[in-house]
Amino acid sequence: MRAALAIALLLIKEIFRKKDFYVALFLMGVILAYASQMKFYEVRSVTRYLLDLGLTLVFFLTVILAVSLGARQVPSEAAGRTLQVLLAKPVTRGQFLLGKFLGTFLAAAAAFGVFAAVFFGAAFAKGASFEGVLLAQAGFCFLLNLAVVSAMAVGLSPYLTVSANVSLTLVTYLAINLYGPGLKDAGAALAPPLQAVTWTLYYFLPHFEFFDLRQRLVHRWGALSPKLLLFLAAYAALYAAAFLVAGWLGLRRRKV
Amino acid sequence: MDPVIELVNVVVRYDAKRALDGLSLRVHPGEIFGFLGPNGAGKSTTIKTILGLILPDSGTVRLHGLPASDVRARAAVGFMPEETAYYKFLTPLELLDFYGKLFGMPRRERRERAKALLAQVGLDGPVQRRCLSTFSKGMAQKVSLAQALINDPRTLVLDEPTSGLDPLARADLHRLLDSLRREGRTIFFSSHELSEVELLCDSVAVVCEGRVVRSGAMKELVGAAAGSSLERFFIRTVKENARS
Repeated sequence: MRAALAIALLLIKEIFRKKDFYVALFLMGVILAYASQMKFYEVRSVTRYLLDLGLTLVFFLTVILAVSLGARQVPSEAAGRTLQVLLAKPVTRGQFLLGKFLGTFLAAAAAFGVFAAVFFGAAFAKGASFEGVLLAQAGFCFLLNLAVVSAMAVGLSPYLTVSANVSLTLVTYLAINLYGPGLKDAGAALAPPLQAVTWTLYYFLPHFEFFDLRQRLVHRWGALSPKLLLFLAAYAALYAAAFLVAGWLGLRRRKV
Repeated sequence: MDPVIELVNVVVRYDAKRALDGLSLRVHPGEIFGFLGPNGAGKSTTIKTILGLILPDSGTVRLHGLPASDVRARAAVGFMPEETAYYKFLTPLELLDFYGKLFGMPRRERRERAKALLAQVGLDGPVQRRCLSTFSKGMAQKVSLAQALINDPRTLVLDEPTSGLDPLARADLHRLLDSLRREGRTIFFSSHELSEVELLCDSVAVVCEGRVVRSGAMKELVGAAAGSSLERFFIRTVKENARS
């Protein structure tokens, strides 16, 4: 665990010393500044729509950051030959991958904290208000979502190039968010072989939409029960572990 | 005396090509072992196999009496690669501190040792706090050597350690390796600089097409005939084995 933590901390240091994070922060600032100039005329639905849009932006920018960071972990270490030096130390390949996952997740979580602070700072300044418990739950669920997506990008990084990994992870993430909930119903209308494929996908793929409490937060639909939160945490842990094990299998016997 | 590094009939394949084709060698404690061979002979693959970076398709590799794949075997090993782009966003002090953490060294010991090692390889003063992205190839090689020594290793594995170093730095490295030998450490290094190998090594092995074709004590292999040199021995050995 010591080695994994050291690797994770190095990755966090990297993100705060490289420009990706600051570019995303700048982009976020520009969009929020633009949005804050809009006149809502106290139309509640428009205000809610803009809050939803802002939250989507915060979530999606963080996911992009996590994916781009996670996807390059194994390829960039291999290309720079730093992987050779690292694995020549008393570090197992499992510890290496775990460290990369922790680092990606923690760095993205820190970025999320900054983006969220900017967004909610602007929202509160414009007079918006949120339910405290629900706000905390939305943050917690997004962190679970971030853990799964970080594990997915890191887990795929021994197999794919950076661009292929970023594309595949983001397309999968978006597709599941958009079409995941309707997959079961869509499958019901199909012929048996296709139905089986669709339903397998439905039960096999991680349902990122489970972690999305944006609508609930913006429309004040009430907090989740502790039991449900616990289920979501276990669900996220299961998928994160599955992606990391898949990554480890790809790295285990790889010639470095 | 048990060997520090032992490879027995090691085969490593890259797809259909055999990079190592039944390679065997033994390195004993306290010796400086030179590993020679033409380009593509299998030197880097051998080094990676010793360090557990490549798992052999067959044969056994033991390091400090343990399988090379065992993480404990690498706890007392320092490795300097031929060429590495270290994390450019770090300073040399931070880099050594990071590698020290991987060995479980306490913070204070890590910092003191990092400073002392960097000074020892000729990187003293403010340069220790400069970002690695600003370093020349020679300076990066010095950092590379320092990181290999961070855990005070019993065994050093060096892949072309003097490539990129100017003559002064090269002489400093020779002195450092000599002092490490006097401390009883084992040093395994590959090099194309035959004069350097002749100057420093107790034993050598020549690898051709993935097999060790000659190995033994330097004096026995080279010093038998009057006027012989390692260079002549090496060229003769490589040509003989290329013919066969």
